[in-house]
Amino acid sequence: MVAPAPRDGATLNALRQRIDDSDPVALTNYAWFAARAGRIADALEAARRAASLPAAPRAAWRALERLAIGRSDGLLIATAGAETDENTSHASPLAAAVAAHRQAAHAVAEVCYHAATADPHASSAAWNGLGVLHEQRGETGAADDAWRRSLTEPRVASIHNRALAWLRRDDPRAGRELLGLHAEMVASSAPLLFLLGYLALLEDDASLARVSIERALTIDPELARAQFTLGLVHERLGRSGDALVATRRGLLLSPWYLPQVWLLESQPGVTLVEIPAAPLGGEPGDEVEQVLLTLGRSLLETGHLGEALAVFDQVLLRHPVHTAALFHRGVVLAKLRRYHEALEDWETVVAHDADGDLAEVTRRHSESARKLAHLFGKG
Amino acid sequence: MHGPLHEISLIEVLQLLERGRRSGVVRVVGPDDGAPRTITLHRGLITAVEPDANDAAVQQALRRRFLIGADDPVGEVSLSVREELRGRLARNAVEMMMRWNRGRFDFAEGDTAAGPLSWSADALVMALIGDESIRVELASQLSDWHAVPRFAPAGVIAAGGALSLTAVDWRILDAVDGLRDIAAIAATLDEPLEMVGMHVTELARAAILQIDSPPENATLEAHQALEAGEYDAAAGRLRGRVERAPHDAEAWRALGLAEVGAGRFEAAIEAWTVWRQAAPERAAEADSLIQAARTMMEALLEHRE
Repeated sequence: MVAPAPRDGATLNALRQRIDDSDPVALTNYAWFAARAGRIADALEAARRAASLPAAPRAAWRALERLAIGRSDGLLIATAGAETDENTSHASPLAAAVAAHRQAAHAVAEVCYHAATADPHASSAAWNGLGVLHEQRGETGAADDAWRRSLTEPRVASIHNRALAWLRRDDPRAGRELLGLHAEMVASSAPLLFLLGYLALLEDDASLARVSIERALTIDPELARAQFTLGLVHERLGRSGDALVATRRGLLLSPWYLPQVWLLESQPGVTLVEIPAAPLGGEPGDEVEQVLLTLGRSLLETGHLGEALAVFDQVLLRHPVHTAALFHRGVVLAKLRRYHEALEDWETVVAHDADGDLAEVTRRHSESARKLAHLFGKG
Repeated sequence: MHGPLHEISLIEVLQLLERGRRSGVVRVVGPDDGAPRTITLHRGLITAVEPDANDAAVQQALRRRFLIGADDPVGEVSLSVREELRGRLARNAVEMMMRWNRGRFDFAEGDTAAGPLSWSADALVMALIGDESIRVELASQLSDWHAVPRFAPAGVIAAGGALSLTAVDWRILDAVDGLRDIAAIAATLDEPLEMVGMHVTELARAAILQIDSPPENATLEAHQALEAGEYDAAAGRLRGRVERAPHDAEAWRALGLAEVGAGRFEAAIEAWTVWRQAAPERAAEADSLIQAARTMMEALLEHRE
């Protein structure tokens, strides 16, 4: 098939004037037509408008997705009544933006969020999403501006994300101040109470952390990151038994410890959608290891040696020379009188971290293990 | 039950089978031996037409109509739209088969189940007669489908009222380039002539398109010259036409006929090869004409030798 000659701009503009701005199907099809004619900006404008309307057809989202990433192919024609109910339910620019954001389709998400800012009911949530998006890209000025707009109508998600952004920019005090400004909302919100506790823990205020996180868990007992963090708090407070209970509860809720998440709203006031915040200065999974070590240490302290061994093994599967895990596994093995294996772990610690915090104590443990191994005559 | 289509037309076969409330499959082979069709009957009613209206054909048609993307499942579109499209594809296919006067049919009786369609052959005939009468009427208004639609001036378009366009309207607007006539646009869109003709007429009423008579009506005049046996004159007009409107499939077809009439088989083969590309849905017909021209050319060469 030979492609038709490009339509001139005047013809397209004239047609656009006759399109009803409240008809999402007509706008979508105009977007298709304009894109086929090579008029991408016209197409994008119409697709944005279509997607911002209630009952926008699937083709409107498709157009927006394609055009937002600079593609003009693959657009679809919308036909009234052509779509299944499943496709049309809950269609809104905000829902599309959050869906795209979750899939890391940031260009699409940005376009959809901007479309959603035109809806007064979705505006605050959309600006919050844009704040997250800009923060993820390192565009801190744009992120600040987006959250400023979002916080003109304060919501749990935007307060949470703004405070988390302060924390991630090494300014936890600004985060705590923001939470203090919205104390009433914080008091009744599990994610905000958790964040307050998490900030306190990072600032070595384990007592405040415990109170805040326990309060968060009374509101939402299934908040896994709060359970895990409570385990860390208890361990910091020297309460191994409580740390073990909290960490085990956390593991029942989720295999992953993700203390930092961004909160998005796909339907304002209905549900919060979480997307993990990328770890700062570490590798993905470091937080999980931190929890596992806490769990292992708590199990060790409370005499659950078999379970403690399994937990340290889990950490060492990922990082075979994780010195803290090796050290503690050595302790467990020694308690189980498996001295030769304990020695192997400790010698690995000393070999890899001769000047580290654990080196000296490891050397002492090794010496004892050798004597005990000789005494018992078995490994 | 079987027989040649030049003795009994397909519609007569289907009407007979309907009256007997027979179940089974009619296999129909038309001018192209390599593209047989099957029509499934359940208690006399047409329930499926394959491969023209099977699931794969419906999926392909949805893609060609931009209703689903290349990788989308058909479930993205509602069942009612899919089945409406299946019905149109089946109707077009049966209509095409009804016109065949070469080939044969074979009916194999057997158990069949109800299918996606449920058509009475008699009702189908009535519908097709209705289509035909619309086609004849519109053809006379639209210069035998050679009228060329183009966009109205921007000021005229802008002055019109609010638009309410269908999916077919948008596809027609996309195909309009001021060069292609309605026949060529219908072939490009793979839609029936009368449907495209009606929509173009409506778009003209809505002050979006203007319909020009064919500038010289070259193809029409060429047809008249062909009928009068003036092959060189016809070929001359048609060469001018295809130069101006290279997408005019009908002009390429007629040019091939004119060249054959004038004894220029090689030129005829060239014209029909272009026609085949411009109207892939008529590839089988083009192939058979090209083959015939080659046979003639070889026979002439042998005779000269």
